[in-house]
Amino acid sequence: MISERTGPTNPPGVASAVALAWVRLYTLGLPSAVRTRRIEEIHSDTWEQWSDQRSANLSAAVIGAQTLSRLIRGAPADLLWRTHLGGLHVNIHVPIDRVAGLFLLLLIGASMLSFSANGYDTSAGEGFSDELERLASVSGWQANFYVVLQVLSAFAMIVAGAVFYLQLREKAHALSLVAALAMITAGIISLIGASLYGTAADLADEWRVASPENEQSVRVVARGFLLALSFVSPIGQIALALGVYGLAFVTSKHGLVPAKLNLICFGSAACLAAGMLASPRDWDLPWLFFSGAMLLLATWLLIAGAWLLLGGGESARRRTLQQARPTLPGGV
Amino acid sequence: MRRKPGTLLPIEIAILYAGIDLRRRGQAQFHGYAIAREIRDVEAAKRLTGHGTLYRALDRLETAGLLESEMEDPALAAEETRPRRRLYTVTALGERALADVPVPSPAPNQRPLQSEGLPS
Repeated sequence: MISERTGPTNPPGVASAVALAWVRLYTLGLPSAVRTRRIEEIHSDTWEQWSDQRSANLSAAVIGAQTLSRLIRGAPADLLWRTHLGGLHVNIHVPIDRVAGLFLLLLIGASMLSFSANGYDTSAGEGFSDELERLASVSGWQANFYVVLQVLSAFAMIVAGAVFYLQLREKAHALSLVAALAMITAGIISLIGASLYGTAADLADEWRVASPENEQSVRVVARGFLLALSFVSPIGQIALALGVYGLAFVTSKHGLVPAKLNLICFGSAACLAAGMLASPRDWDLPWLFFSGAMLLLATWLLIAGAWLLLGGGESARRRTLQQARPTLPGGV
Repeated sequence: MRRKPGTLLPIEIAILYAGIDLRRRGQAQFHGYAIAREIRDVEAAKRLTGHGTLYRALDRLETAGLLESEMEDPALAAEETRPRRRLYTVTALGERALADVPVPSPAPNQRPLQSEGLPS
């Protein structure tokens, strides 16, 4: 029997509601006829299943579980069908420039946070015990909180890379793909960095309470982790920088941000190149160049992000459209 | 990997077989859930086909011309106080496509497929 609360044609139960919510979600943005057809089919299907299985004396819980099982098992096919029909493009009004601007601003925090753990100064041969002492003095919850923030920022980079690729692929497919891959690589490296940092922090705690015979081995292992961290961190920084340079080029070329902003990226790229070419023996000089490159990068992200967030990209596009509009005879 | 044009996936073969089997039993048209139940019964499976898998396959078969569909009369659905069904029919092209597929030997616990009414 169908309950009155759900109406005569709505299958009762949370599972049916979830199935209908899911079909409404993945058909968003499709042409109305295609969307309505799929929603009607799932609506009818869940009702028929409820009606059929209820008449076979199955309990509501079993029917719900089967409905959810069908939904979950079919979800990959739903997404493939959706992608085949219209890719991941969503044809609903989203102020995409402003969202992109927000992502750029988020990237500033993410990039600074992710690469703030740089291992330690390898040139200071005898200073490692102090470094380990410093790491051990960080409380457990602080270290965990820092790792969580790093992981979140790494995911922010990965998502930002994917979002920018999806938005810019029609404008410049190859370059936006390269930029997205660079950002995703930076995110993955940041994840590796977070795990290295977390392990090193644990080892530092262990080192502090280790017995004299174990102290040396714990110290060596911790040093290995921090060395690995100091190795991967610059690679992540370079990957992120390349991603942002690519993004800067595409967005300025298509008038989403002012072309003059590219000067900041050129400056950042020059600093990065100088940092890579500087003698590794003089630790301060490469560090100075890398810091300059990252600072300029953050400046570009800040200005471009604020520009897009405040609607600069939309007004630039409107101006372009007005300029491209043909003038009718008679000056109309 | 892309499949060769003209070849049918197991789910598509199962849908066409089930559709023809239903027609042989007097039900010329079938809706989505009916075919999911039929496939489960024929294959003696524990589970019904997933929504996405089923409707994506139905969509492909219809696009290929092996099935055709129409919405049922709204008055009938209203009379039975249920949502309107989309009713599918296996086309002549669908029958011909199935004729090229070897009839699978049934599993020990599987209901045998009826060859009557199937294209030879």
